Amino acid sequence: MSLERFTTLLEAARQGSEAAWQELYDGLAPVVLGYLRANNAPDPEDVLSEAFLQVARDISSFEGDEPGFRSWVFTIAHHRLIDARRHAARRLVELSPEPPEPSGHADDAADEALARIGLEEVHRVLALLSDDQRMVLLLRVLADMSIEDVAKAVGKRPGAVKALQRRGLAAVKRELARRRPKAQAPSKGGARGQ
Amino acid sequence: MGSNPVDGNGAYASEMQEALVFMDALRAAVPTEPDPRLRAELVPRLAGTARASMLEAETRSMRRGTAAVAATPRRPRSRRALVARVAIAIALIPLVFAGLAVAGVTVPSPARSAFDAVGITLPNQPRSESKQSSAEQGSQAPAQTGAPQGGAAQGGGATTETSATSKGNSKAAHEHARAQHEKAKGKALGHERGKAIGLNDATPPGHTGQTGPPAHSNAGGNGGGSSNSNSSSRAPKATHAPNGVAKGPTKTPPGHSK
Repeated sequence: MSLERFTTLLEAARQGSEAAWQELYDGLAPVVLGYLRANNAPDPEDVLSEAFLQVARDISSFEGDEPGFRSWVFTIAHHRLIDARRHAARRLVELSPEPPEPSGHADDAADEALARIGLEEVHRVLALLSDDQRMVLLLRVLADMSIEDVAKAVGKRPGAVKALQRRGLAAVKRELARRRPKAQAPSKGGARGQ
Repeated sequence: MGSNPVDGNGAYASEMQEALVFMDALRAAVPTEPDPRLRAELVPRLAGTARASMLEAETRSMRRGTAAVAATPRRPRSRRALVARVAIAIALIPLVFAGLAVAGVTVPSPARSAFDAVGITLPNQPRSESKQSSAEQGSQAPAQTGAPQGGAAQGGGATTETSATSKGNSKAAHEHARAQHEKAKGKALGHERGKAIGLNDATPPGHTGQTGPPAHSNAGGNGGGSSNSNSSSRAPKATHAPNGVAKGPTKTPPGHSK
């Protein structure tokens, strides 16, 4: 989206245009909801609603371009996630046993990668990461946020965010390497056999 | 989307080859479509909230603007306004004195005389000294000529009065005190019973029943009463020998009978 187009959209949303809000919601809600789900948010759709309502309340004070807006929305969603977790800390939250269906908003490369690894495997590896590692990786990947923005959102220093990202990626690689021999063993054997 | 470099911030390049595929898979796997009912319900609410928020922000900015205008430093007042203020303040001074006088406060004599000069008599004030002094100035000669009416005593009194006036406002103060006494008469318990000396109708000690200023030992006065204070106006008593006649003791010597 060009800057002019985004500025027009933002101004319309500020004035209360439903069409503008529909466009903003459609563009961001699936990714934000995926982030909330991946981080085990209690009642993720409720948290999503709260996050967007806060965006609507504070949109008059926002200034910036589209990536800045995306980063801002994710920061709000992250804070609402932390609040929701705090409120739900005393009650047992039942996580959905099966990973939710992807929305199909990703590009071809992402779809290809997902086809190679598999949806269940992605969610399994994500679940093995620590909360902080998962948050940092998701904010970096889904929201395209810079190290500094992620650091502000999660309330850590940029150095700590870099370390979390590095450890998270190492854990992902380890898990993928552990899975590969099992998956590749038949193909290797098959190749030898041929 | 999907162009965020993850390998530039300390991650090892060898790890990234494996992890990059996972990141791409994440982009495809994580986003999930929200419930369409939520969208239908939430979007109008978002629009309404944004509209209300925008209105509130505009109102706030208007208030801030008004406050900013109110907070701007005032222009220096014009000279005319300053003069008017000073004039009003000066005009209020006599009113303040008049108010004090009405309330029963004794106004300083300069202020009183200023009022007298323009023909205003302040209420609740002792007889104006200035009036008196002007009256005395006008009638000083006749008063002095009339002094022999009372003999030496009256003459002495007039002299004393004049000297008192010239000294200060002792007479005025005296009259003021009398006026206060008159006012206070009957207010305090016991005054009517004659217990308080000098405040009832009974003749105070040293007074002969005259309705004039109380006799002072140094005022000359009428010489009445039992005061033994020396006074030039007092008639010599019989016990006293005429001047220059009795050089010896006047008392009857022991052994002599009357």
